[in-house]
Amino acid sequence: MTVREYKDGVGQWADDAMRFVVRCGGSRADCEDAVQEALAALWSHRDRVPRDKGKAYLLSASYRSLMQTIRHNKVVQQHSEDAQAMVQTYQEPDLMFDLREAIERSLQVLPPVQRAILQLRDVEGYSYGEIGETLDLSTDKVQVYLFRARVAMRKQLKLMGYDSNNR
Amino acid sequence: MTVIIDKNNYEQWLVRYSDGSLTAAEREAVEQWLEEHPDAASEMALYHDAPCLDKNESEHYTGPIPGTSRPLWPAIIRWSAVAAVLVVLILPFAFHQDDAVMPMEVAEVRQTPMVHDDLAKTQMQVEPIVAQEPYIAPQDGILNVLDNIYAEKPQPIAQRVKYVDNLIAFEQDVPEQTYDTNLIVCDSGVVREPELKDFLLAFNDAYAERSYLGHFIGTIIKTNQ
Repeated sequence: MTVREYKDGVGQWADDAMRFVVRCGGSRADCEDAVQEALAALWSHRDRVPRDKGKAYLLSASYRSLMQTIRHNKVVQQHSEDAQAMVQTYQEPDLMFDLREAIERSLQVLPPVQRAILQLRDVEGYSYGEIGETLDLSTDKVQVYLFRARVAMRKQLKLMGYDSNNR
Repeated sequence: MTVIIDKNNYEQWLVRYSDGSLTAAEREAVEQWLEEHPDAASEMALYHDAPCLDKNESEHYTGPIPGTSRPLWPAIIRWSAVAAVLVVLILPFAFHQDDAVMPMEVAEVRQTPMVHDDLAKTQMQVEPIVAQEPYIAPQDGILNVLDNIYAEKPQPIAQRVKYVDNLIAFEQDVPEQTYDTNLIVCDSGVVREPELKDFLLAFNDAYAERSYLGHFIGTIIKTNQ
């Protein structure tokens, strides 16, 4: 990747990486830091990263950096517990959130890797192979995690009062 | 090809089934397996019913992007070049601003010129030029003063020259017999109009080494003689 290719692509990829890691969890500051580290890594390794792999490299590096931070801060467990408690509070049929907010909250109970797979599949439109390459997983694992993530998210939405009739 | 679906791998089979990437035989095998496993079938229904995530456009990365910032010195050079071009373009107008002439109601007469005694005596005999006297704004340099003085159609000198700045260095250059014609009374001297050019050139030369473009500050008066 040339310097020009880096500069042309990185502006758009930075936003994509930011959206990706925000969905994966962590505070905004942690996500900014993760993307910044990934950008710095891409800049330093630009000679070895082809242009068509630049975005995947950036997403992958951002994800790894964020996961490292999350593990270090033990945020994953805390977020999961908080979100679980929050979801279980709303057993009434009244819809406490709009659908978008409900989806975001249902995502919070998922493991980060499943959130990442959903984001990469739904938003970025990556193939299973590309997702596996980005997250360092096998294609089979990606499919399994994707299945579990969708089923778990749908269950959480049901708990919040959303079924297929009121969406 | 034998299709083996069990509790350990059924999820990926179901995903592939949903994606439509299975062969007809594999699809039939999955459908048969789902009929035998209602729990998995209900999960499959949830999988199909789950909403897809949408792109959250409100999220933007606002931090720095390595490699895209420029070092400071090229910016300084660029702006210096812009400034130089602007100076080159604006400088000619700065010395030819006829519109900058502003009216002045009363010309000032210096009563105590710091030159020769003879000149000091003549100061009491002059009349000030009053009313509707424009003066050349201080930003008009000495070059503009000379241009005005030696124009084809000279205007009254009082309309052209008003300020001489810091003429103390030229006391010795002021001629003694300059009191019989139009005079310029400065902070520290009197200059007759015919000698005005030499006077101003001397003034300019003296300050050239200091890169000083002095302005002509003083008052033009007429004598009775």
